[in-house]
Amino acid sequence: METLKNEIRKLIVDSLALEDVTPDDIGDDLPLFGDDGLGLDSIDALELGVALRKKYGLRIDSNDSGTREHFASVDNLVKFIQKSNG
Amino acid sequence: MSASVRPESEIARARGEISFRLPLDRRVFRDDVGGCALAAAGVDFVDPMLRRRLSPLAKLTLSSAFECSKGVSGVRLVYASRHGEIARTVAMLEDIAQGEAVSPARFSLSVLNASAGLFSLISGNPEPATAISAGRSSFGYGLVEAALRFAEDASRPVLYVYSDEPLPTIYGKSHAEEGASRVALALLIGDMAETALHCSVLPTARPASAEPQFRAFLRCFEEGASNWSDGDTPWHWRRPNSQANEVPARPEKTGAGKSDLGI
Repeated sequence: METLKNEIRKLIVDSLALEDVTPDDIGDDLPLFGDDGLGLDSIDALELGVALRKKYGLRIDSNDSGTREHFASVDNLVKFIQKSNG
Repeated sequence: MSASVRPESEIARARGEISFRLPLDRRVFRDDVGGCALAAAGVDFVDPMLRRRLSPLAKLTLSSAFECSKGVSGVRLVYASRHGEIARTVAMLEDIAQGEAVSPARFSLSVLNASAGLFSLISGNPEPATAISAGRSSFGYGLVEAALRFAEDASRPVLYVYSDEPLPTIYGKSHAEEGASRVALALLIGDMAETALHCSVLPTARPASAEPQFRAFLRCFEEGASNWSDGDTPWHWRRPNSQANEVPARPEKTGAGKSDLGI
């Protein structure tokens, strides 16, 4: 669980080329999108989707109403990956 | 052409020749030999969330564009490049060839006018921006476009920015005409100009030049006049006053420092 969390934190920083942000800066429940959190935008959502698909073989349906929720935080991404691969 | 256009900014076309006077307020040239200019080019003014997406070419282009238009609001922008963000395009094509997914972030800024769009976004400047690509003569035709924009309304400056970088190695050995380094050249065309160039595109064919077109243009500042040809259409630049080698800084808008070097 912790390993997966750290992997995802690192994946976010690396795949989105974040400057001045380290994996440790991304709290488990920090909102990834919007001004109140990490501040990622829609292009980041797509980029992150590509990276997650590549690394974990996730199938992400952009029309799925749950996708927004799955991408909301590191915690949610971990749950989503575990559920998808479980 | 409307009557409000100042005579010195008119673009004349006669006998198949295009000629125009180019009043220059400022000139910024960055030659990124060995990555030195890029390292020195500050783009700290760009929000980090946007900055992380800038290509090396976009960083050099934007830092030159902003330095050249510092303190001048509402410039109209003309951007020219022969290849633009081709490094990104090639990287995407390589991903596709390897069966990989295309990076959305890379795709979003892969078009020729990416830097022009970024300039508008970052400066919050809603004025028109035009992007030009015209083969070997991209620099020259971009300059013609910028001069036309200025002739249209000479009361406000036009920012002209040209940038290019060597082609990715997959295209084979680079040609001298392409240039060996990443470059950005920004010119502020405005009515405070103390320096003006006379530019002509001539109707008689001449042999092709080996150097990139922007290099021939820059030689004009050192040598007073210069020529360049793509093998068909020759270009000529001439500086009426070849005393000063550097374009003076744009004077404060008091009118006191204004001089008119009519041709």
